[in-house]
Amino acid sequence: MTDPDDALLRSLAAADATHPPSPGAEFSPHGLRTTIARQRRRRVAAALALLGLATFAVLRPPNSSDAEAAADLASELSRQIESLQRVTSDWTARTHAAAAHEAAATRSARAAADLRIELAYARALPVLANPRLSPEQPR
Amino acid sequence: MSCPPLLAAADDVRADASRAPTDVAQALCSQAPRLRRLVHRLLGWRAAADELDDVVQDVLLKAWNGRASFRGEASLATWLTAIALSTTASHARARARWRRLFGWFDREPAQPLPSTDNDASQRAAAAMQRLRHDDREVLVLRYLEQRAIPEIAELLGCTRPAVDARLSRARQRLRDLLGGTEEP
Repeated sequence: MTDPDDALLRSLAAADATHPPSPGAEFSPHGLRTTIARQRRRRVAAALALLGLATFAVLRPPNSSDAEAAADLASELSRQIESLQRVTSDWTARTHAAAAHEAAATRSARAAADLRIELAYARALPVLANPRLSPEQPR
Repeated sequence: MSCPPLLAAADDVRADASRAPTDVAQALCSQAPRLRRLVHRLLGWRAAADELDDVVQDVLLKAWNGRASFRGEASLATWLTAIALSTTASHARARARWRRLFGWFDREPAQPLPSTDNDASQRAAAAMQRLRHDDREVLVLRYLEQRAIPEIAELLGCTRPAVDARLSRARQRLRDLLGGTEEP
């Protein structure tokens, strides 16, 4: 009886035989040393560049044109903030005025209604006080 | 410049202060074709020539830079094989990470394995390529490199029962893949 793994291993061996590695670079001691030297040079250059960048970032002198640009930006920002505040205060004032106007109109309407009631009461008072003028009294 | 054949296996790079660096480099370079074949198998027979060259060069550079740590307890071939295994595993992880990050937009649907019986080797190759790297590693070492279980345990830095378990699991996954078309 054949082990089921035998077929598996045979197919693996066949796959390995049908996929040989493509011919590649020839590695020589000289090439290895060249690669190592190049790698070392690259690392040293990267370290130096990093160090230079860090030094420049830490010891960078203040730039006058940068300061002027920052001042311009700050003044522009403050101008924009002031104009926004003006717009906001105008809007608030208009809102308050509208509310006050509405409240006054409401109050005046209520007062007018009260006045009309008082006038009507005043007109009706003599009639109520004189029984002869009373409409309920038979003539 | 061609490399001379490896001298006596363990004596080549052993911390021998009298040996010139060129001899050490020659001993390392003479292993390059074998390492190239091993890396080609470990990457599932699908790596391009440039990729293989890069990995083999990484292995040789690591061996050169760490030659002082070679104590001579194992042969040079075994020491280089261990370095090649770790380097190839790192390379495979980086490649998988790259594909996860940037391969989603050109992802192709999984192709079914060849179904006819007369291309068993193609089926086996496709199934090996779909295996996880860990599984492919033990299968390559055991069945293609013909290494003994204790040697594999030494190379992978694990115990023999662990190698047996990994081998059994890898065989089963390969059988499953050859039996169907599911993803590993």
